[in-house]
Order: sequence, then C-alpha cells, then structure tokens
Amino acid sequence: MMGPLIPLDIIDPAWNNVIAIIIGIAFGFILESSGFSSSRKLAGVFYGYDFTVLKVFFTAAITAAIGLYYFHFMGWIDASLVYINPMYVGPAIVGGIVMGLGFIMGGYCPGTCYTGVAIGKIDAIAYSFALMLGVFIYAEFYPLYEAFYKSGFMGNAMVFDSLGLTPAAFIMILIVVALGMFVAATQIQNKVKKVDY
Amino acid sequence: MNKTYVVLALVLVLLGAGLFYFQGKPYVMELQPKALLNDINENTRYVSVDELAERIINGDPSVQLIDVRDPYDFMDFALPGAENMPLPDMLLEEYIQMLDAYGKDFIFYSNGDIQANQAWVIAHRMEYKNLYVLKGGVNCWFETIIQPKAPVESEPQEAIDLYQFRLGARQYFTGGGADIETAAPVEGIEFTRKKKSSAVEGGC
Amino acid sequence: MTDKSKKYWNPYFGGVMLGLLLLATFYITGRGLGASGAAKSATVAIVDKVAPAHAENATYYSKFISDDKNPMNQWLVFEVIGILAGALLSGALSSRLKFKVEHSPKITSRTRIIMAILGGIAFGFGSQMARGCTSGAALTGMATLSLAGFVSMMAIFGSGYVFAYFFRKFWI
Repeated sequence: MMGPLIPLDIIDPAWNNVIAIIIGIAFGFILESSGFSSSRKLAGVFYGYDFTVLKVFFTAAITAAIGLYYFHFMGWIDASLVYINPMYVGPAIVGGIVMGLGFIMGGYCPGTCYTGVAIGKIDAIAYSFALMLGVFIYAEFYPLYEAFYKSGFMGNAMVFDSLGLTPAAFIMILIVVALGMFVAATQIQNKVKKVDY
Repeated sequence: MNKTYVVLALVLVLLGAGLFYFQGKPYVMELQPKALLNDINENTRYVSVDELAERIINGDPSVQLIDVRDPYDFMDFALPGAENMPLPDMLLEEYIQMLDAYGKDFIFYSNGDIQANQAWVIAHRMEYKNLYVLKGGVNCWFETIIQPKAPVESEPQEAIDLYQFRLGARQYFTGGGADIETAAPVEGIEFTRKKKSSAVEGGC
Repeated sequence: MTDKSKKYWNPYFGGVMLGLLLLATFYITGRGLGASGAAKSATVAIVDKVAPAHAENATYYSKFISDDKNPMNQWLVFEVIGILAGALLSGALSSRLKFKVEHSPKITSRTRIIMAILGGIAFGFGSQMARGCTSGAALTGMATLSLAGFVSMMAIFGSGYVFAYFFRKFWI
C-alpha cells in the first residue's frame, strides 16, 4: 500500500487526530524511556557528561532519512507528498539561536518538557507554562519583526542540493560524521567528571 | 558491548551504501516534463464560466476560486469567494499553502487565462491536486454571464436554454438589470453537471 | 540513596525506535513529529477566550482563529496529549513517577524553577520565529533532508554550546 496513507485518502482523514494521539503516545514513551524527561540528562550534551541527546537525535534522524529514502524508491511512499519544512534563512537562524539559549537555561525543549510534566517534574511544568508565555510575547510584538519573519524564503530547499551532493552521498557522509561523533562522545564522556542525577 | 557497536555501525554503513543503487533518480518527485506536457495538452483542467456560475449558484462548497492577478485588480473586482494569490508571489508560504486545503477544487483565474494557466502549471508540477483554470477568465465572465449574447432564432434549443441560464446567472450575481423584453423566468431548466473529463464547450 | 527507577534505554536503541516512529509517522500522515505548535495553539486559544477582540485584530493570532474551528483542534495538540500519556506510562513502568524539582546540587530549587521559566520563555519565543522546535524543525527536518532541518539543528545546538559556558554554574 502506497503511503502516505492519509494524504492519499487510504485512511479517512477523520482519523487524523486519533492517529496523532497514538503517535504521541509512542513518542512520549520512547523519549521518556531514553531519559529525556530529565533536564540534567538533556543538558549533559553541552557539558560532556552525558551525550544521550546527540546519540538519540542523530540515530533517529539517520534511521528515518534512510528509511524514507528506501521507502520512496521501493514505491512504498510518495515522498513528494511528505511535508518538507520551508527554509526561511534569517528566522531559522535567529530563532534557533534564541532556542539554544532557552535550552541551556531551561534544560528542556517542548517535546521533552511534556515528558517531564508527565512524570511529575515541577521544573518541567514551569517550563511548559513559560513556553506559552514566550509564544504570547512573540505574538504581541509580532508587527515589529513581521517583515523579518517572512524574509529569506528559499522554498523547500534540500540540504544535499545546497552542498551540490546527491541524496545518497549526503546520507553517507552524514552516517560517517555521526559515527565519528558517537565515538568522540563516548571518549569525552569517559574523561569528564561524573555527574549524579 | 564494543563488538556489537562495530557490527551495528557496519550495518548502518551498508544500508547507506545501498542507497547509491538508487542514485540518479530524483529524490523529491516532481511531475516529469513529459507527464506535465501531456496534462497541459489534455485540457481537462478547464472550467467554463457557465459551469462555474452553476456551481456557485448551487452553493457548491468545494469551489475555491484563486485570483492570480495583482492585489489592486483583486480589490477592484473579484469573483465570489475568491482568494488572492498574486502570480509572482505564489510560492510564498502564505499563498502556496492555500492549495493544501482539504476537499476543495482550486480554480485559478485571471483577466484572460494566460496567467491562470501559468499558475496552474507551477502548482501542477509541484503535484498539488484538484487544480483547474477558468477558461477565458474575468473577461469571459463579463462577456458571458454579465452581458450574455442573445441567440438568433435559428440556433438549437440548447443555445436558447444556455442563454436563459446566463440571464438567470446575471440576475443572481448582479441582482438586477434583467432585460424587460426577455423576462422569461429561469425555472424548470435541467442543470446537468458536465463530466470533468470532457472538453469544455462554449468559449470567448 | 536508593534509586528504585529502572535504567534508561540504550540511547542508540532509543534513537532507532524514534527514527522508526518518525518513519511510520511519515508513512501514515505525510508529516513528521512536533511539539511547539501545541504550545502555540494553547496560547492562541487562551488569548481568544480571554480577549477575543484583541485576538482577531492582532495579525499573529488571527491567522489561527476561524469561526468554525477550535484553535485547539490541531494535530499537534492531540499528539502532545499522546506524549503526556506515553511518558506517563513509561515513567510508571520504570518507577520514575515523582513530583520533584530536578536541579544541580549547586543551586536551589527556586533557582532552577526561575531558570526553567526564563528558558521556557526564550524557547517559546524562538520556536515561533523559527517555525518549529527541535522535534518539528530540527529532527523532522533532518529526516526529510531539508535545509531548514539542518540549519535549525546547527543553530540550536551551536548556540547552546556557546551559551553553555555562561550558564555552567547552573548545571555542573
């Protein structure tokens, strides 16, 4: 059966929200089981005492990217119907920098904070409300940077195009880089002072 | 532990290497030129002004008109329920995302139909679905619906029926201005939905 | 100090699981995962309830408000409800359920909460500007090999490393 199932009407779109919940359950379970409900574990990637974030993040991205690629060429999914994040150069970079600051201060990102909320972490609960406050502030001052927010549109720019590579070549390079990072991470983690949490 | 990781890493590299087998095929499927040309020549994308008028009068909720002219023209006059998607900016997120709406038939229109066709080609190439072009555009709308030409007596019944329909449509859209001489009511006329795959008749 | 909680998963295993989930999500829905959108929907819904006139007039909210659809009726909102449930289940199975403020012994609970709030505000703001967070923009974006995904990832983690030095007292 060719996917994606809902955009192709193989599954009635009325099921979309139900499926969202099920996917969310799996998402939350995996994140929590991997330790992402702990802000100190998450922050470890920035201080060298715990590289879980790096390992999970890149393994997941590579697994999904390879899977998507194979699915596409086996005819199991029509990749052109899969949503590609649009590139807005300025906002992506500036927003990313602000998020990085938020991450290092708060120790969470939205997805992981909700897993923290679920297991009772009070700092995660505070973070989740603060997120909404951040959105509110953004919305209130929106006219100030509306033009910037809409600037730098590059459509559905693909990363391999920007580097002049084919998708296969890019993924291969990504795999090699990631493996290198994993090895380095393990070495660093062994040498850094242990942190108990 | 270490050996397992080495094996897993090798598996990963092998999987990655396997991707080179598929090299040469485009990753993001866009409609290939041959298929696109085929679709252009098929002309199944056209919607006539008569059909559009009928669907609007019947309150068809799936109709979504997309005006690809510039915003000033759009503000001056727009067809009922139309949204503006200026052709030069159509790829901006705020415009292109209009084509994501579920359950809609998107009918591009412009003053003639050249710009509407251009928008259709771009969007069709990006594999958006349910895209149509209003044949003749706003100009044809005015010439056909707002100022319909009366048929001469020798023309077949269909032409006369069509004319009556257009008078009724004009009444609906402009709320007045019916000719006194041809004040025949527009009831009892069979509206048959034209099959989408057939070529559109009646033009400007 | 006895720790009854079970061990976390091996991170590579967790990564593969997450990747497979992401792949399944693409296959079923044509979209990836996300989270910040739910915070946005909640904010829009609250503002709309409390001050509907303001919500209609302000550009940023008005885009997400329509007469017939509740702003909370969004895919991501349902997904986040799922996240809460799934994490609760995992935490319960692993005896990790406990109300506490997790903080470095070098700072107080209060400091941690304050930093969590400041961090949340910043992240909330940034996620709107960048049109996504680590799950939606970075992770999903990387999986689809979009440029936006990789740029987002580098911006977030890059700046995290830069700022880490200044906030080290809060963590280690």
